Amino acid sequence: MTIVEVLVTIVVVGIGLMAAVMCLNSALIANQRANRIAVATMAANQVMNDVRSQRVAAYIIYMQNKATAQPALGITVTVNGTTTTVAYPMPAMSTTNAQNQTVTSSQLQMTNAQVSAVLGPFSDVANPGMAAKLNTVTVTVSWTGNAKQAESVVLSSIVSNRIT
Amino acid sequence: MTDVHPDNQIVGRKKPQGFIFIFGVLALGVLLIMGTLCLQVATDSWNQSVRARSNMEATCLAEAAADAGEAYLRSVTTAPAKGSTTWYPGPTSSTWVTLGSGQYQAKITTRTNPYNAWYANTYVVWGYGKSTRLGITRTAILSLSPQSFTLYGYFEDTGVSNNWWVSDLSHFQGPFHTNGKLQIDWSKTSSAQIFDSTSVSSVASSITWGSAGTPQNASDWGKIFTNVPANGTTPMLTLGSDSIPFPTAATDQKTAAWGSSSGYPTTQGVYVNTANINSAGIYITSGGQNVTTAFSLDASGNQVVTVNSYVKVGSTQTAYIYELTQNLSANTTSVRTKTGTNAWTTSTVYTGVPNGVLYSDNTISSLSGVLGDSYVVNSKIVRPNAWTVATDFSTTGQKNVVITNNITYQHPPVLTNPYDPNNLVNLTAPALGVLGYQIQIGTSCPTNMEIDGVYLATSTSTSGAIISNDIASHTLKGAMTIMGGTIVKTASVLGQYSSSTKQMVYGYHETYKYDPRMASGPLKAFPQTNQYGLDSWQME
Repeated sequence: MTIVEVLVTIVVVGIGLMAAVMCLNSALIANQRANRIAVATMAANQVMNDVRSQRVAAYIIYMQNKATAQPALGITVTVNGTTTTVAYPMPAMSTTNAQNQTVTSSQLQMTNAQVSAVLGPFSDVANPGMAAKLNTVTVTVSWTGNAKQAESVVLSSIVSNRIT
Repeated sequence: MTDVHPDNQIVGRKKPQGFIFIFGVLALGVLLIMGTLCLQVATDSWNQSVRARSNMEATCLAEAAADAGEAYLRSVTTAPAKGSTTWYPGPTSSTWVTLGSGQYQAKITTRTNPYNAWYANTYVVWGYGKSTRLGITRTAILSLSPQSFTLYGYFEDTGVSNNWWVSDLSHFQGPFHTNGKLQIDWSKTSSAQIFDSTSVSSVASSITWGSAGTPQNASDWGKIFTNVPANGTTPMLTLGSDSIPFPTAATDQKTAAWGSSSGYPTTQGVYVNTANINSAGIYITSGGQNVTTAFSLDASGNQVVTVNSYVKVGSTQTAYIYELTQNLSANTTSVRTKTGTNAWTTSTVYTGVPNGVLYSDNTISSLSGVLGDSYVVNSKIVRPNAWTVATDFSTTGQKNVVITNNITYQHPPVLTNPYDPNNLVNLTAPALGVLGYQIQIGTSCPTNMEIDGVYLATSTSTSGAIISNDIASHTLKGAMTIMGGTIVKTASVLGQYSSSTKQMVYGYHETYKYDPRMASGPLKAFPQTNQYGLDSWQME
């Protein structure tokens, strides 16, 4: 074995190791990002379901009356321009829904995450009467990624504004 | 043996070389494979998360479409015709609405009620959501039934306009709604709550409170509602809800009783379509004379409906009595008549039974009796004994119904267990709906009485749409139980009480019991609201 062979082997294996480590690192980052998107999607969907199940009117009434101290993860709700911030998970909104409100900042694994649900006016020029019956809902879960880049998951829907 | 090279050098086996290099290349290969696998796993994970995200976007859009479709169904004045397909926003399936990161559209179709063709058609809202990220499409399917006014235990259209109060002397079961404003005169000392209901709603966004003032805490709310949450919230009370248009014409009942929307008879008489008895009910052309109706049971328990339509010749009024007996198990109807004191005609038996709608173009001056059981086989209602009795309750017609005695079910439903499909009592219990301009409790009624069924009155009278005539005659009666529902334009005023003594002064002390079976609309041609109840929901 010559010194040349040893050197060539070290170089080749070193390059290979570097490539493999880079692959692993990229895979880890991608996997982490994918995981965060999946968790954020679930969280956004949960907030959307809460808004939908409570119906908008009851939700607004609840938030106006029951806002409490902010935990690590808060929810900001804007209803036709007026913003209200309440605790999320929502404490004991009702017995039946309390069990569903299980998303926490630790579960999201993103201490800097923000969740917002914006209720906006619904518009249908051809059927103006629909505006009084519906609201648009946009739920956004945003966070800062490993590379300090802003990331978010946005879900949009429409909810009926009646309680029955 | 040793080889000898021509150069006389001894040649041996070559010493192995390049082992480390080969090992390095192999190790490199293994690392590359591992790296590739890691990348593959990461890519799969990424693709899955993107797909889940796209799927969720499509789901939310499908739900948006379903809600929009349902809201559109509630907003139209005329519900889509049977067999039709309506697109929202339409007009065709090619129109999509962009929302967030996708698009949505809704389709509304009709279908025959899957539970019982006797009931009204149901509607299916197909909400389509499409995510533009991966082109994933989801469909939310809602099955909706039009809600009959029989859904309500108590429905009142105008509320405060006639100075009507609910007090702790009244007790309401079942869904309660007013298109006006609630006035509640509750008592801090009373132990009987006013509302025992899952839903109390008013269009007005506030309540006028009586002398006890606004309830301050859970204890106060507990004097008004049963099952008040410990934190003092009032989830059963909804203010600012949708206004529900009140029926104004008896066209549907008239058409159902006659079996057609044209060719109504003008000659005085009682009409049953004996050629096709299932296709219609009992149609009464009164000629302006009095009409009375009584429900009774024959010795076999068959339902007998006796209609007395008087005939006036000169100044003499002669009774023309039409008696219809339906044998639900045999699916036959027998009819006989008589005039004045003459003998009954021979009964004629027809195959089939009427559709259960009785319409009179004049006031029914007497209504009373007993309703027998429906015909049930293997826990299914084969032929219901369900009657809708109506007069011309429009503001131009103003024909009343006067109740002259108890109206009861032979076997009432089990109100505490109304939805049990295996409960034979609930299935066999009959059903009754009565519609008139004003429904009056006649002065000849017993001191304590019960009327079963759902009663709808459209009178705008400030004295009430359902009234006790004993109030006008200043007579104090006893207890009145209404087991079913009360649907009124102005109010149901069966008694008058003193707000100072909290004691009844005239008429009846009423108790409203709710029959939840009515929520599914078993009464033929009973008016429908512009609301829809959700039968089922699924996501595809």
